[in-house]
Amino acid sequence: MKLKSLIISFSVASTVLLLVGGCGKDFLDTPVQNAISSDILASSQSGVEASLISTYKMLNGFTNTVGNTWGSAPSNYIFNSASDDVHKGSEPSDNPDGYYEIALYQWSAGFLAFTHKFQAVYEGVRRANNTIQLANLYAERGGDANEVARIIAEAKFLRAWYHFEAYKMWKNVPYYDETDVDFTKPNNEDIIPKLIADLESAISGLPDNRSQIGRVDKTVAQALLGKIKLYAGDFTGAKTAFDVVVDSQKYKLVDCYQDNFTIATENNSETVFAFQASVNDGDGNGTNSNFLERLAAPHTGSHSSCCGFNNPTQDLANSYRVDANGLPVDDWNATRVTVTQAITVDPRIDWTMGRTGVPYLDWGLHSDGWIRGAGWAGMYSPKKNMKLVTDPEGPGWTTGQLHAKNVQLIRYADVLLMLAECEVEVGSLERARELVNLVRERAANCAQGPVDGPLTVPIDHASITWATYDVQPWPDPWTDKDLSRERVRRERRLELATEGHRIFDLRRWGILEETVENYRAYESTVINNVGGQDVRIADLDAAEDVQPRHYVFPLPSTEVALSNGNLKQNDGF
Amino acid sequence: MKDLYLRCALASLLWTMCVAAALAQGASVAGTVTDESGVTMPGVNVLVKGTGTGTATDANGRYQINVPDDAAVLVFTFVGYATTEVAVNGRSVVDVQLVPDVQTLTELVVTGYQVQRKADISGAVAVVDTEELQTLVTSSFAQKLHGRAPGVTVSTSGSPGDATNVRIRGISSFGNNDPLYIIDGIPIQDKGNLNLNPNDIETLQVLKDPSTASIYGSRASNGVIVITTKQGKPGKTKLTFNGSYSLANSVKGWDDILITDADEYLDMTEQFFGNGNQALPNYAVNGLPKYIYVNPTFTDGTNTVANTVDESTYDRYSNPIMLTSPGTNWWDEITRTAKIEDYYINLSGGSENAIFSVGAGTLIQEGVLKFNGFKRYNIRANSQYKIGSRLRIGQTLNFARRSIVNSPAQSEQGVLSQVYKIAPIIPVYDIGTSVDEDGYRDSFGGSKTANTGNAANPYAMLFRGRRNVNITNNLMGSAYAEFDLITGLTFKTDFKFELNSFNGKNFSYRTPENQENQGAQNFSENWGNSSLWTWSNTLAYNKRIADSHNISVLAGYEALRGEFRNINGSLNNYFTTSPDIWYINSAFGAADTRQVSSNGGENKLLSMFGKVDYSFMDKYYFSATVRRDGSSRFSPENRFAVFPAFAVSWRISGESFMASQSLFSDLKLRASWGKTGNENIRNYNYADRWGGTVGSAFYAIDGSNGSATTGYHLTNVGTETLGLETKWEEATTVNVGLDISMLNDRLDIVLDVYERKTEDLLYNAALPGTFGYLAPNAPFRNTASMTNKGFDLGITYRGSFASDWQYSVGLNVSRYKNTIDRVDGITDFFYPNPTQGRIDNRLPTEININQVGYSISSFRGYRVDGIYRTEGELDELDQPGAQVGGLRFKDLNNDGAINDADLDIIGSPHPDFTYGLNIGLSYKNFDFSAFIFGSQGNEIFNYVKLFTHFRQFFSNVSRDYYLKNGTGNEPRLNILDTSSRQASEYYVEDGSYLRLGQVQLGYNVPLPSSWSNVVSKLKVYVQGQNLFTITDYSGLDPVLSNANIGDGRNLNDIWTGFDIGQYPSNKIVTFGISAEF
Repeated sequence: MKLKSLIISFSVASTVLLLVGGCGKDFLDTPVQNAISSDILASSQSGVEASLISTYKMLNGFTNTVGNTWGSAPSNYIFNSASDDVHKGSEPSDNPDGYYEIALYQWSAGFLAFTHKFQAVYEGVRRANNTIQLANLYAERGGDANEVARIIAEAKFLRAWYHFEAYKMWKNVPYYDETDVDFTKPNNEDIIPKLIADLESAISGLPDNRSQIGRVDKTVAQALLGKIKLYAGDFTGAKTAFDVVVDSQKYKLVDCYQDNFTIATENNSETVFAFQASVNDGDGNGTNSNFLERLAAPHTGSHSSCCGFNNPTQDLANSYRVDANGLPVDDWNATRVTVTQAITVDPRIDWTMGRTGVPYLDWGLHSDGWIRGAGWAGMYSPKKNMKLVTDPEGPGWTTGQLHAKNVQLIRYADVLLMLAECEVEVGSLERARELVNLVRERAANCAQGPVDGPLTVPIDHASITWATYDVQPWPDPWTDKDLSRERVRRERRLELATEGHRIFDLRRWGILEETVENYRAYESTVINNVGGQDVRIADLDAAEDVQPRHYVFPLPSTEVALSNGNLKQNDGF
Repeated sequence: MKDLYLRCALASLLWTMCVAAALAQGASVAGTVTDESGVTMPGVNVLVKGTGTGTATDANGRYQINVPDDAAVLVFTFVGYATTEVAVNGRSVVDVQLVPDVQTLTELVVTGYQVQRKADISGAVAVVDTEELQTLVTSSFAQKLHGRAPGVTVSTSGSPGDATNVRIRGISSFGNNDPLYIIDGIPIQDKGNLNLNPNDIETLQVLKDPSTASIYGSRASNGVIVITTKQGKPGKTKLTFNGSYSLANSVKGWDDILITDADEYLDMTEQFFGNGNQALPNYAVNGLPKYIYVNPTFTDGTNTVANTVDESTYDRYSNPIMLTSPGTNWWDEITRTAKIEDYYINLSGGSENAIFSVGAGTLIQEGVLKFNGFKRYNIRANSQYKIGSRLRIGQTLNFARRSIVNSPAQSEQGVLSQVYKIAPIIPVYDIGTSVDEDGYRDSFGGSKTANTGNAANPYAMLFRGRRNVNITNNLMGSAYAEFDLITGLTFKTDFKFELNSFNGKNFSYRTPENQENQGAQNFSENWGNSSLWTWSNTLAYNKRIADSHNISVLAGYEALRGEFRNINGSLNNYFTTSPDIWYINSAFGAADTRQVSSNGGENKLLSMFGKVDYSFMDKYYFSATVRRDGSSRFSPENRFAVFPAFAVSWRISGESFMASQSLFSDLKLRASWGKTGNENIRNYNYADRWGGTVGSAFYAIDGSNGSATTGYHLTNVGTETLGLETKWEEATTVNVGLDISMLNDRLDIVLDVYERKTEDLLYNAALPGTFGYLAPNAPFRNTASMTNKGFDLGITYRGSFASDWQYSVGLNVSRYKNTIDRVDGITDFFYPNPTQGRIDNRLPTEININQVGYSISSFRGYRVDGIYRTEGELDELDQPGAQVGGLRFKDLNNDGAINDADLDIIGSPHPDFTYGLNIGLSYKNFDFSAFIFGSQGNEIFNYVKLFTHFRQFFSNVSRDYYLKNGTGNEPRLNILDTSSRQASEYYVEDGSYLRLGQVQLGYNVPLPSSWSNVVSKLKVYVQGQNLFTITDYSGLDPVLSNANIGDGRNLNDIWTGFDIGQYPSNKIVTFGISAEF
């Protein structure tokens, strides 16, 4: 073979090789499938609006991780089990992510409950920031300035909301705005001024009245502003904000307490801010429903045969006992409240907890079998978060589990009671009494109806055989500041029980240790008779002492580790 | 192994053309070369001894050669056959019959785009004797490789058709560690490998180091397994048949571990509640009741309600009634002796210019779990043609249809986990006697009674899943054309493709017997298809210069494109369970629950490569490889990477100073260095992606309760947004090897020592949670680097006791040591991404940790410091939740409290070494073989103890633990002990094992010579697989699968050594026959 023919052959072959190879670098370009870019979203108002919608959506705490992130549920019921209102429930070993230990104060920074809450609130923060970024980009491209301002204002409200959720949990948390690129910021700064700034900015950009019930407007933002200032101890500032809400005259307590917890009547004059649940909305998992709240549904034997978490305590039941004047008693645990007409109770007890022998909404009588174990869960089922028989339901792993009941985030009664706290602290005790009485008077309007009757009846209805109801306003002027403070706090517990406030209230009032210790001392003596057997709530024996460190939860240890040393763990963990 | 003719012919052609270049004058000898069965052999080298004169046989096995004189001696060589020397003795016709040479059978190796003699290779290559594996009963060929080749480990469960993780030299990546499979040139990265019928495999080689693997550059980082399938050969048309029938059981059952007796269960329950000062469950108060469940409330055995149960009020859904079981053996209820049938038939043959092989097979494998199984039907057709003297074309085509019925999830929700969760006092059936259309009883008992946990009835789960079928149709094939441009220079264009279509159906039934019961009947279905094509074009040049320099050059260009698309739909609340309406049709369920979504994507690779091999005097070898790959998965700036490799070797035995010794017949020293890559990350990793499903981004902002307004959110953050550049993961390997043949080739030793450093490891490690829940959805980044050091040793000895008795012993031993050298970013460790778990302080997420200085997937937890014996001891240490009788953890930092700071690395799943031992023995027509494999020094995190010891969800417990609890160092059963159950050394066990993998006795039936026209070979055999295991491990099976476990079947290497109760391996007895016609 000749060299020449060799060279020619090689050249020919190489050419052929490259030709049939045929494709240049363009070959590797693969357009992204099944997704769109931020560029497209920022080119229209509807795109920016959609990002805002997804920011609201995080109110339900749903994080798209494997498994179920109950810790990020909007009502915070997992964390509220550290209060005197509820037991963790279910079975001791049914303890995903540290829930049982949270109730027993055996806390560890490693519990995934904390991680889930942390990720969920910061997902909300990031979505808010993404929305602001998109809105700014849209404005640069000539988007409607008013609409941009409104969208940014809503996003800033939500950014403050999510940060405040983190603040309630851990107090020492980092703050992120739309300009941040470093996600390992330290937590060494008080974030309250930033939240206030966000809300003040939001208030200036928000409309007076929201266009849709799920959105926020100026008064909603004022309500949150007041709450944040209240948590920060600025009673005057908080009062100013709450006064704006009250003076707007946009809100009014609904006649029947239960209307706040019935799907058909839930978005009403008392709704300041709520997570708007939906079901059978096109998501086969029911994610937009009461998705993360569902563990707090009764157990087998009930219509839901679900999970049996979040069982109200005997201590809470007793606290509904009233004296001959229809007023709360001071030593509520002196007499045990049972299902009997011999004891007079506030009718809210039977809107708050399922008691055996008492109708459970329209599901028939509550029964002991709905409780998973009296030795750690007591004898009561949660009730506020249950649907009615005819309400549509979504696809849970058990029936009756998922539905479209909203989660009340701020309701007007809450605002009135927070304002009452402020009035007490600034010395307007009579105004405080007036506010508390608004709440008490409304509570007297309706009670749980009988098994075969209407859902609600007057509190003295003849069909009520399981209790005697009474609730009256405070008749006499309030003159003692400490006593007034006690009464406002007591009312807050009765009105808002199991709605996720209690643990945070006890902390900000500085009475966590004594309250929880007193509660345990009583609750662990409670003996229930189940199926002929006496069962004591014995698991509280294993609870750890409440200490000053328990005024905040530990930051999730993985987040501390991932922060490049910038997140400092809360003291004592 | 005998019909490699054409491939060999191609290679030898090149040789002989060179050799024959200078023909001498003299007498001419001609003849025909045949193999042991008389079939003519093309491509056999014929050399005149002591001269450079040579030729090769033609397609009819004929040759003609000039010899210098009558005394000349002809040397016939052909790979796989013994070299045969024949004196001409003046004859003009010399016919020769060659006999196979067992020792050299494995000599031909398909490496990359070439076929090379093993002797010429300087890298680490293991050639697996496919005949040895043929009779093993498995659904995937990959499962057969366990322990068969040094450095190759295999992880799979006993679930028919389950995924298989093949690992070459350990784990070296956080992400993908699958080797690249090259099946007839088709690149496949697939954990299942179920489409190929193992019977179709002709050769299988494992390329372990970069000098051989890096020609595949991209994706070769984890080694390459090259497979060729059966080709025909010219001559008589041959029909072969292989058939086997097997019976399988699990190697161990849960009934060997758990309590199965109701009285013991009751006693255990009393201890559990009593030790925590808790009231007993109702069923335990007065001894076991007659009924374990009566609606509306539970009643014990003595009170009035139980005595007045009116069974006639029974209703399956509204009023189930269950009798208490005296002890249900749940494992026994859900398992069976499974039948496995495997049949294969092959027809092959051809003429000088065309050969073909057609094979068809079926495998029907029942699962040991009832109602679970795997089926595969496949057909393959391969053919090759010569057109003129320079052009050759050929094709392969394989169609497989496979179905998996009721494949159990290996997770807490899966059927296997229900077995250890459900109580033995629960009956399999309730008092209902209804049967379904197939005659099965279909109203079940379950954990409806309080304090019997949340387990589902595992039998009911299997029964209800019996029609949930996943079907895949797979077509793969290739077509090539090869043209000799000039002598020695060949152009080849080769197009390869794989098409998949799959369909899965899942119907979920109402579960009235469950405590947390499902009340609706739902159906979901998915359809999808995927395709992959690869087009390679290569130029190969071979030249031998002056009889001592061999040069071969290869250059090529390759493009690959893969894409997939699927659609999923579901509809809830079906009004009937009839499979005839298992369609997504709004009329059959609740229309507003209908949901449909689709997805898709594509990825591409573009590559150029070249390789030069040079050898001198068959003593000194050198090769250099370079490949440049571009992947669409990286951003345009980071797409391309170059992977070079070099190798040298020295055949010491070829040196003159070795000529006088006879101890070593071959002694070769090899060394290689090279880089390989890994790009197996998700598509579009670099780009920000916005999207949103109803569940993740939509919101009912208008308060409508029944519809949600469209929302969009950032679903995936791209590396660019985070200011990161993500590029190829690269592994650099140094390999030094020694090949020794000695004692007249009776003893072969192959030793390879290597170090593999992997840099820029790709992993989507969690971002800080301050980034939101995208954190677990983080983009893949170059995260870390790690080193694997190790050796692979293979020793084979062949011998005979007497003329009739022959034996062989093969031992392979492998060891690797994995160390994480660096973790980039903000910490020196990271956890794998989350999955569901139950241990309170540490999820499995945070049990398997990747930390600098330790091996990948090390276990993290507390160290155990004995048992708390007294209340006083509890006060010594602040251990939240600790109880007397519970585990005391070590306070490593002596701060008086047990917390995060006391967590330590408490174990490693990596073995000190793994081994395989093959023993073969033959006597006349009998042959016997045994195969033992094992692993030494690996640890297992026995997560199941959370259930079998700490009673997560009031699960059943290990009987051994029940008997020992509260004694020695065993924590006491205690309902209130939330501390002992935390991740600690208590879960870590020695996972070493030795298993008899295979033992077989075969008999070659002697056939009357008159039959030879009909049947030429008939062999029958009986075989056992996994007949016994020696281990101290207390769990079900120490041979753990780490392939596709977990809820999303998404757990892999990072979960190595994590036992969540995987489907145990099968013990199989097989009767087989193979015949040739």
